[in-house]
Amino acid sequence: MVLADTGFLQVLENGVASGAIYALIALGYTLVYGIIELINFAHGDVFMWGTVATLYVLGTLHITGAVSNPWELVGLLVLLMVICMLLCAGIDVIVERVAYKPLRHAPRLAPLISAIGASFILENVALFIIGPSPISVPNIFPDKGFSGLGVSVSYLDTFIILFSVVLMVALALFISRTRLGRAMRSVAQDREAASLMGVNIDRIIVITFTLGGALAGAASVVYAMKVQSAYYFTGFEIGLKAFTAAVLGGIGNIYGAMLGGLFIGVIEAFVIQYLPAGFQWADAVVFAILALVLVFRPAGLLGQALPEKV
Amino acid sequence: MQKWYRTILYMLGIAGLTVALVACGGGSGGTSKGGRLCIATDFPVSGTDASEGIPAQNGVALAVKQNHDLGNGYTLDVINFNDVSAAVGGPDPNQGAQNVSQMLGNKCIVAMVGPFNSGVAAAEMPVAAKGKLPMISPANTNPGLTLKDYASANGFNFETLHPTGYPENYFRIPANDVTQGKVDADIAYTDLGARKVYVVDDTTPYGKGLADNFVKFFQQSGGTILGRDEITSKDTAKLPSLASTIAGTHPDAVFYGGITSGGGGLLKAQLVAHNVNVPMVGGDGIAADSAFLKDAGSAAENTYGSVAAPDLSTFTSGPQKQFVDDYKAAFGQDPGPYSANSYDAAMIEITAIKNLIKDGKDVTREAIIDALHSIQYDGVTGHISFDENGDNAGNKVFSIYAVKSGKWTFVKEVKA
Repeated sequence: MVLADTGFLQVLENGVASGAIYALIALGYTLVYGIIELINFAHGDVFMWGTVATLYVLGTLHITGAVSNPWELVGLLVLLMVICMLLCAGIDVIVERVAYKPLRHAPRLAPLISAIGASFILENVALFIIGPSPISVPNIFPDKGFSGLGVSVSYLDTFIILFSVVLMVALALFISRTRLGRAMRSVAQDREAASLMGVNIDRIIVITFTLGGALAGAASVVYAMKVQSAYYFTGFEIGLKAFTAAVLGGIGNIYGAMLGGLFIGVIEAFVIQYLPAGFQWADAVVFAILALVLVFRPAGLLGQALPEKV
Repeated sequence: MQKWYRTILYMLGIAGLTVALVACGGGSGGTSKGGRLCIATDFPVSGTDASEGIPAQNGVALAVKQNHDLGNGYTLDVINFNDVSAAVGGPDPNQGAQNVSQMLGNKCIVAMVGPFNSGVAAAEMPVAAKGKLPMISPANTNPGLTLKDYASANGFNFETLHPTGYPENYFRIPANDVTQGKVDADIAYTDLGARKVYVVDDTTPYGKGLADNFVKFFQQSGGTILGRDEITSKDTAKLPSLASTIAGTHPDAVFYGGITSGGGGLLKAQLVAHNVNVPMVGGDGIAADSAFLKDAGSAAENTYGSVAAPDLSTFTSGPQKQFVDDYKAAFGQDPGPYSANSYDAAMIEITAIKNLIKDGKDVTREAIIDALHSIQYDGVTGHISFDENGDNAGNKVFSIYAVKSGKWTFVKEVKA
C-alpha cells in the first residue's frame, strides 16, 4: 500500500465540495423538522428526482459533455436550476399535502410511516423509469479549473462551493430578516401561539417544504454532474448522509445543518484519503462520529437542549 | 355468510392442490414420446449490464430457433430469465437462484444456458445440481466454480457448489480468471509498460477474483500494486474522492476487476476528471461493453480489456461466417462478445438432446448431463469438449480490445 501524496488542502477541497451538497440537502430536513417536528424521509428521494430531471433535460438538449461557450453554460445552468428547483419544491409540497397534512394531528409515528411510504413510492417510480443501474449524466463544466498551492479546484467544484454559499446566505437572510421568515420562526417556537397571532400555519408549512425542496433541487443539479450519474437509490444514500448532517449540527438549526454537512463531507474525504481501505470504511467512520457527538452533545453541535413542549 | 366463506376456502384448497401437483410433476422433467422441450436462459437483460446480457441471450435464441423442430414429434423453445434485481442494481445471485428454482418447476425445461456472472453461478449451481438441471455458462470465468483448489480463496464452498450424490451438472465455455488475470497482467506490464498499478474491484466473486489473479501475475512480473479498493453501484457519491486518492499515488495504469454496473465506467470518468490520464485495464466485465462507453463518456479512451471469446474478425470459416450472417439477419446487429459462446453452449445441449432422440432414449435432464460429459462438438468458437471439472478442454482464446475514438476496437487474440 502506497500512501497517496494528494495534498492536505486538496483533500479538504474534495470534502468541502461534497460537504456543501450534503449541507444543502440537510437544510431541507432541518427546516421541516424545525417547523413541524417531522423527519421528512422522502426528502432524499425528492433530491434524487432532481438528478433524474438533470439527466432528462441534458438528454433532451443532446448535451453529452462540457459546454465551452460561457454564455451557453450559464444559460444552461439557469435552465437546469429553475427546472430542478421547481420540480423538487413541487414534489416536496405534494408529498406534504398527500402524506403529512392529513396526519398532522395523528400520533407522531403515523407521519413517520407515511414518510417512509412516500420515499418508497418516489424510489420505485424512478426505478421504473430509469431502471436499476446508475445512468451516466454528462458534466457540462469544462474539465480544467483553478490551481495553486498544490490544490486544483475544478470549475464545477468552484461553482458548487460559491453557489451553495450564496443559497445559504440567502436562506439565512430570508429567515432572519423577512416577515415570512419571522413567521416561520414563530411557528417553530410555538405553533399555537403563532396561529393566535394571525400566522397562517398551513401556508408557512407549505413555504417551508418549498424552500427545502428548492435547495435539494439546486443540490441535485451539481451532484448529478459531480458524480456523473443518476441512480434511483441515490436518495437513500445521500438522504441518510444529509439527515446525519442535520442531526450532527443540531436538528432544527439551519446553521447546524450547514456546519454538519461540511463536517461530514470533510471527514469522509479524509477517511478515504488517509485510512487504509478508507473507501470501504468511510460510511462507518462517519456514523461512528455521529454516535460519539450525540453521546456528548445530544442536541448536536449547535443545537440547544430545549425543554419538552407542553 | 358462512356458506360463501366456505366455498372460497374450498376453491383455495383445490387451487393449492393443483399448484402442488403441477409443481411435483415438474420435478423429473422431460418426456419420452415427443412433446415440447425447452432450454432456459439466465442473463442480466435489464439495467446497465443488458448490453452484455442481451447479445448472450440472443445467441441461445438463434440456436433454438434454428432447431425448433427436433424430429420424432419433439419441438424446442427457449424460456428467458433475467437475474437483475433492483436491490442490487445489477446481476443478483439471489434472483438467479430463484430463477433456477422456477426452471426446476417447469417440466418443459430440460437444460439451461447461463448465467453471465460467476457470483450468480455460485448461487445457482447448488439449486440446479439438486434439481439435476444441466447448465452451460458461456461467460463465467471464476476458477473457484469448477476447481476445488481455488474455491475457498474465492469465497465459495466447493461442497455446496457440487453437492455429493448429485451429478456434476455445471459446464462452461470460456477459460478461467487465472488465465485471464495473467492475460490482463501482460497487457498492463508488457503491452502498456506499466510498473505501478492501482487496483479496484467491484466486490463480486468475478471482479474480486479477477483482480486477485491480476495482482498475483502483475507482481510476479515485477510490478508494484499501489493500493486496492472495492466499489459497488451504491458508491457513486464517493467515486470523486477515490479518484482524487488514486491521483495522489501517480499510477501508470488502473486495473478494474468487475462488471460495468459495479461502477468501472463511472470510475474511469472520475479518473480523467481528476487528471489521471493513464490507461485503465479490465477483464470481460467491461471489455467490448457498450454500456462502459456510455458511463465513461469521452473519458473511455485508453481503456483496455480482455474477453474470453474469439472476436468476430477472426471468424473466417464457413460455419463461423454463417453464424454471423444468421445472427445479423435475426437481430439486425452484430453479435456481442459472448454471443458465439452462448450459441455454442445452446448448440451443445441441442446436440445432446438430438442424440438422445435419435437413440430412442428418454430426454431427461439427467440423460443430458450424462451426454454432456462425453460430448465432442465442433462449434463456432472451436472444438469443445468438457473435462472432468466441467471446464472446456478445447482451445481457449482471449480477445484483447481497446477503446479508440470512442469505440471498442479489437487489438489482438491471445491463445491461453
